[in-house]
Amino acid sequence: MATETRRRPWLKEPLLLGLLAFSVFDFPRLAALLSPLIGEGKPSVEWAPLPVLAGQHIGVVLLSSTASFLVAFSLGAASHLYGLKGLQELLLNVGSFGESFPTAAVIALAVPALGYGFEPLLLALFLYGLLPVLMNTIQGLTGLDRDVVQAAEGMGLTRVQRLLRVELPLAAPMILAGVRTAVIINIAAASIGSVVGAGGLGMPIVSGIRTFDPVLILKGTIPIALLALLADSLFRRAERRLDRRVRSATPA
Amino acid sequence: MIELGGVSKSYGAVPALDGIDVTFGTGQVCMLLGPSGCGKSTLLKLVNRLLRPDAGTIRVDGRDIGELEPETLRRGMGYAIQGVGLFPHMKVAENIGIVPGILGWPRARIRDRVAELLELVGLPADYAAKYPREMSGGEAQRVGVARALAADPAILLMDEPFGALDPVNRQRLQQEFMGIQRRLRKTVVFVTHDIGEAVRMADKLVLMGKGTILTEGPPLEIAGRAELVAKAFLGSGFVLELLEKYTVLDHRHLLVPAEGCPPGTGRVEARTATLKDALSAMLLAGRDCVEVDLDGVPYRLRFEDLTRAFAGNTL
Repeated sequence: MATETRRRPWLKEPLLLGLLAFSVFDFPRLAALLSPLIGEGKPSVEWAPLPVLAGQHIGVVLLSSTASFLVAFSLGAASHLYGLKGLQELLLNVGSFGESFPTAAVIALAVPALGYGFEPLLLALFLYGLLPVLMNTIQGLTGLDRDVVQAAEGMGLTRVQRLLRVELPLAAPMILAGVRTAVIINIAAASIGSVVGAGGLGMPIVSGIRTFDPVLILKGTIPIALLALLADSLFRRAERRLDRRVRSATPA
Repeated sequence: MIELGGVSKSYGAVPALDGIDVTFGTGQVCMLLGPSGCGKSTLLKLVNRLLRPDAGTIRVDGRDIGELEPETLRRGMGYAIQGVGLFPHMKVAENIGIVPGILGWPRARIRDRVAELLELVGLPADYAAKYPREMSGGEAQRVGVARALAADPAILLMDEPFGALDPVNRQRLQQEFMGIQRRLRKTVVFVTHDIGEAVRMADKLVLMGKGTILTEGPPLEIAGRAELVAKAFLGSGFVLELLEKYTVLDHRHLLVPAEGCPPGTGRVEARTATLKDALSAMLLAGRDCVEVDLDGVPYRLRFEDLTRAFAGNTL
């Protein structure tokens, strides 16, 4: 039956974007507005302007998430295509093991090999983004309606045709949800990058912790939170859109 | 023609089919009937190689299907299943056109074919642009049949395709499908657990139980000689289902001249009324005969003659 759900109006995302821009480009005014709650900040040295730090933050998240997506999606899709159940279990186990490693530890271990700066952070975030995408790709592809998959096989679609024309389009919302998780994790985890000299919005947070300055901590935290909320909202919107397309025929 | 010789299949240690020998004739509707778990769906999936047999051979038009590419084999067989299996992310036109598309038909030809099939299964042309979720169960099932017919395969494999429908829609689709079949003359292998559906549609009925064939043959013949095991499943109402399979015209040798019809006798049309309709008319009128109109000529069908309809397989 026709159940075309109402399109959601674009309200939340522009609001979040506006707040994000405000917090990044005019933090002093935001801090002044919030001063009854958080008190006055201490005078501090600014290492780099906040917009630059935000740009670094977003850049490293985009880069690492894209890399995680490409690798994890390919691994997940390939292991499904060739029916490698054993490999899938191994991948998921290695993935969860990797996930249980603290970010700080990964970065610390990467520094001797890659040196200070951007690279160890990128490596850590890349590794962290793998599991959610991998897990959702594998589960999305294996959890499809058996009737639909078998119909495709029984009609004479080849393995690759089934994957490209039926399985991936149907699993897309689930896979996208995995990418969303990876991005959100990375937005938060990228703060740690400041300790190895990778910049980002973690800089004011770390300085704020050192100098016991809550305003400085919020200078990094507020944009990070807004960025995470905005990314989450945009991804969910895309997922809903895909989900509407693949919702099943018969209300069983 | 599809021939199975000595076909066995088991899932692990659980046997599903045990030494099946059966032939599905060209242009015939063969109904595989049996309780759940009797192996009828397994048998169907062996024919299009969704499953491989542990033993035995399966030949389609004389060729061992083990020697064919599974995709090639399947594209020559329409496949319709319960729960429809329509692709939810594709419009009706894309669902129907997927196999012709894979076979490399030009776009225009696919579009024409989709329109032709929608008309065949009794759906409006504008349904081509609908998504499966925008249709009722019966409409989706019709699209499922159209999709199976899309590349004009000689063979149709149907696994309880009308299983999820309510009785009214189900019977309507059965009738429509038989109408289509009378024109297209496909080789149909149809799995069902509905005795009425099996009897009404079958040219050949294959009754299965626990991985073996209990009995097979035209429904009427089975009614005459049904073995005890078969009778246990078919039940005593089996013959009443047969009444619905045949029109009065099919049994016109039972008709006698109309003289002597008492007033108040019911009346049926020979070409459209089934034997069940004729019997119902007798019961409603409280008479032991019914007037029959055969192309404007009046005849009479007596209850005593109707009782002879299936005795000794007189058809």
